[in-house]
Amino acid sequence: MPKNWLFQIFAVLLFVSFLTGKVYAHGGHKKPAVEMEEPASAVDSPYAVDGESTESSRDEEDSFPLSRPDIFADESMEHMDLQPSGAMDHKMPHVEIAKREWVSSKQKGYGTAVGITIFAGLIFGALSFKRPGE
Amino acid sequence: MANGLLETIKDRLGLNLLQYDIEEHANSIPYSLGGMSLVSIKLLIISGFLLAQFFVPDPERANQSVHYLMNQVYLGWFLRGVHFWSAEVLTVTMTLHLLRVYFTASYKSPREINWLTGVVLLLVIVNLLFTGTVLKWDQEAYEALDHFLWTVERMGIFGFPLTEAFAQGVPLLSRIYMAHISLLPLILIPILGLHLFYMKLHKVSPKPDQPEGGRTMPFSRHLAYLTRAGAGIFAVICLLALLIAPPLGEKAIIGLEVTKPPWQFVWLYALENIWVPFLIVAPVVLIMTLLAIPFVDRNKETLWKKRPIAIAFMVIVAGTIVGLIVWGSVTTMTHKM
Repeated sequence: MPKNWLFQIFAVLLFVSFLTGKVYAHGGHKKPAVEMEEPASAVDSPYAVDGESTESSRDEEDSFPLSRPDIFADESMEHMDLQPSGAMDHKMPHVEIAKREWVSSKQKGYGTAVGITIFAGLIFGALSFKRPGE
Repeated sequence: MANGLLETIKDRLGLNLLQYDIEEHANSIPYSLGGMSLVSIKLLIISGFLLAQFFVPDPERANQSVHYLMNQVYLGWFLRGVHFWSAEVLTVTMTLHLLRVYFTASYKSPREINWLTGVVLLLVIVNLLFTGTVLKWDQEAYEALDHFLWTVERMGIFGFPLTEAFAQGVPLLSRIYMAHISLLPLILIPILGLHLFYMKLHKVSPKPDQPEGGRTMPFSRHLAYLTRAGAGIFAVICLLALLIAPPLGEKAIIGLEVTKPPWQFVWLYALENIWVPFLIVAPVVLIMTLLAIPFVDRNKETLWKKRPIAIAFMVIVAGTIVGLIVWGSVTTMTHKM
């Protein structure tokens, strides 16, 4: 009798051990697979460029020269010929030189900025006129 | 009753300490240039704090975040303009202050320490200007950093903490940002405090060829004068920010050198064209010379006519720097590092 009892337990354990992994994974019943959410990425950022993917952003970051210690190694310090009609011209990418520019009146808050400036000027005018404490 | 309350508040806050006497000629533009510089520094701190809310100190995003601030944030362009023009105005008032102190011989005994702390302040502010230039991370910024790294690499072990290799994996731009908003201001503020403390201790220098202790007035009158001057400076800075936008390019193309530095650094750029190591030698020589001035010039005379050598020296130095700035601005440089 005890032998039969042990045999039955062994048989049940053997049966259970043959059950598929999926049964264990979902607690023995079918459940829709949970979709992995993408972590918040630079794509959501207001600075993101249209069509930019997280993958490409990562790749770019990895290859960004400043993330490598040898970025400013001597060979990169060799400066290009700056003569406008040099032989290097066709190799040199075009760089728009940043300059000081007149501010457009279409800028956000331009009216407020005008107001702040006039107010500052008026304060200075009033102080120069009244000279309190001087 | 109201007067009694006012007196109590003044007493508790220690405002009566501001009632000390100060020389009357302090209420003039030449003798208020230091105070005017302080106004620009305050504006830089306030506008800088606001700008920091929108800046991403990462090489991938820094330039875009500044463009975003300029084009998308309400008054962002004005805020950046105020910060930029405050730095420009500070450069001018600070330089004029230095020249005024030199030409009126205000660095002489007992005010040597004021001069020394002033030179250190100049050094810190130039570093703030430089780090601020790099942060926008466009072509000009990259090239500025490129030159800086060339310099520190040649300083061996002393330059190592300033290189990318010192903290691998941390973008140098992030560390420069930390220096700009934290380390350098932390150095600036106590030295500024010392500068003001010694100015109070030794008092405003008398006009040249006049004895110490001339006609005086309460310090509160000078404060009122500085408040008016500060309002004027703020109005000028606002007007400049309203009219002219600071330069901002696209993200840098690594390896190119096509831009010129901001005008404050153009004299170095021109010297570099003559002999590249000037990039290291010239700033060191200039700072050492400035620090040595009170110890080398032991002449007791303060009137410029009686100090021909000292005056000629400064005219030559200042003239050379101005000449190099003009030359560097109008000429295409052809140097190779």
